Amino acid sequence: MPGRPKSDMDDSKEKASSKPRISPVVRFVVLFLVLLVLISIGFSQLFTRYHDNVLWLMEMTAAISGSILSIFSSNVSYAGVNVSYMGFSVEIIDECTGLFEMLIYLAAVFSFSTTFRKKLIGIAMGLPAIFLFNLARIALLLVVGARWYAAFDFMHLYLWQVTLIIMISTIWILWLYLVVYREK
Amino acid sequence: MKNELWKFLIKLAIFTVVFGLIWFFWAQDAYPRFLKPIVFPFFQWIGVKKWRLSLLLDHFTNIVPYLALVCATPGFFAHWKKTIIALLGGMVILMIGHIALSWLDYHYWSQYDMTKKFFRSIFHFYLLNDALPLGLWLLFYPKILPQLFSFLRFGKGGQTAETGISTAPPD
Repeated sequence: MPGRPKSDMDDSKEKASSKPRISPVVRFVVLFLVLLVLISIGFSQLFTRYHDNVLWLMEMTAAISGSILSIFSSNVSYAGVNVSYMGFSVEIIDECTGLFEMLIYLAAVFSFSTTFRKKLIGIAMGLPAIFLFNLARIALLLVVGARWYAAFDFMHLYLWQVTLIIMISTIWILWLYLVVYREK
Repeated sequence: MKNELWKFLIKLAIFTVVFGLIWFFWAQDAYPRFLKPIVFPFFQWIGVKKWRLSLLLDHFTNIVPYLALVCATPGFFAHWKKTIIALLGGMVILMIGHIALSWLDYHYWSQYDMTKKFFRSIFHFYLLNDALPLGLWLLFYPKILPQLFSFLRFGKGGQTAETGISTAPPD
C-alpha cells in the first residue's frame, strides 16, 4: 500500500515531537507556584478589603477548637476569638484559620492536570478537611501551651512550616487517590 | 513500595523534629550571622536601611522542611551526587529567596508602614516562600512521588508523559 507523500506539515510534526518535552513534574511545579502567586494576590486584595466580614471564621475556629477541648476537660472557655485552656489563652487570628493552607491547596489542585469536575470535588473535600486538620492543630497547641509551655513556641512557629506541608500534601494525595485515579 | 513510603514518613518525622530543634536552639541565631556578609553589601547597594529580622525569621524556617524532605528521600547515600546537588542547590535557592524577601519586606514597609497595603503587597511573597520547599523538592526529585505512591502519574489527564502523546490515526 503506497504511503501518503510527505508534506511540510509532517516535517513540522516530526520536529515538534523530537523537541525535548518539558517534564510534567516541572510543568506542575511551575504552574503551582505561578497559580499560588495569582491566587494569593487575589486573596490579599479581597481579604484586606473585607477583613471585618470574615471575623466569623476566626470566631468559629475559636469556638469549635474550644468545644473539641471541652469534651476532654472542663477547664476550657472561649469567647469571640479567644480560647483558654487551663489558664493558657490564645487569640485566633487570620493565620490560625487554615485559610493560607487552603490557598496553597487550591493552587496544587488547579495545577494538576485532570478534569474540572475532579478539581471541584478536590476543592469540596479538601477545604473542609484542611479546616478540620487545622482545628486539631489548634487544640494540640493549646494542650502543649497549657501543659508544656516551654515547647509552645517551638510547636507554634517552627513546626508550622512542617505541618503546613504535611497537611496539604496528605489531603492532596488523598484527593488524587480517592478521586483522580479512582476509575483506573 | 508501602515499606518505602513508611520508611520515608518515619524518616521525615524524625528529621523534621531534629532539624526543627537545631533551628530553634542554634541555627535561627547563626543563620542571619552567616547571611550578613552577603546581605549587607547587597542591601547597601540597593538602599535597604533595615533588616527586619524579627518578622522575617519565621519565614526563614522553610529551610527545616526542605532539609528534612531531602534527607528523608530514599537513596540519600546511594545517589549521593544527587543528594549533594539537591542540598546545595536547594539551600542556595532558599537563601536567595530569603534575601529577596528581606528586600521586598523593607521596600513595602518603607512605602506603606505596617498597613493593609503592606500586607496586600507582601502576602503572596510570604506564601510563595513558605510553599517553596515542596516545589524545590519535587523539582530536584521529579520521580519521587510516583516512586512513593505507585498510583501517582503526572501529565495530561493524570497519565504519564509517554501516554500523553497523541496516537490519533493518520487521515
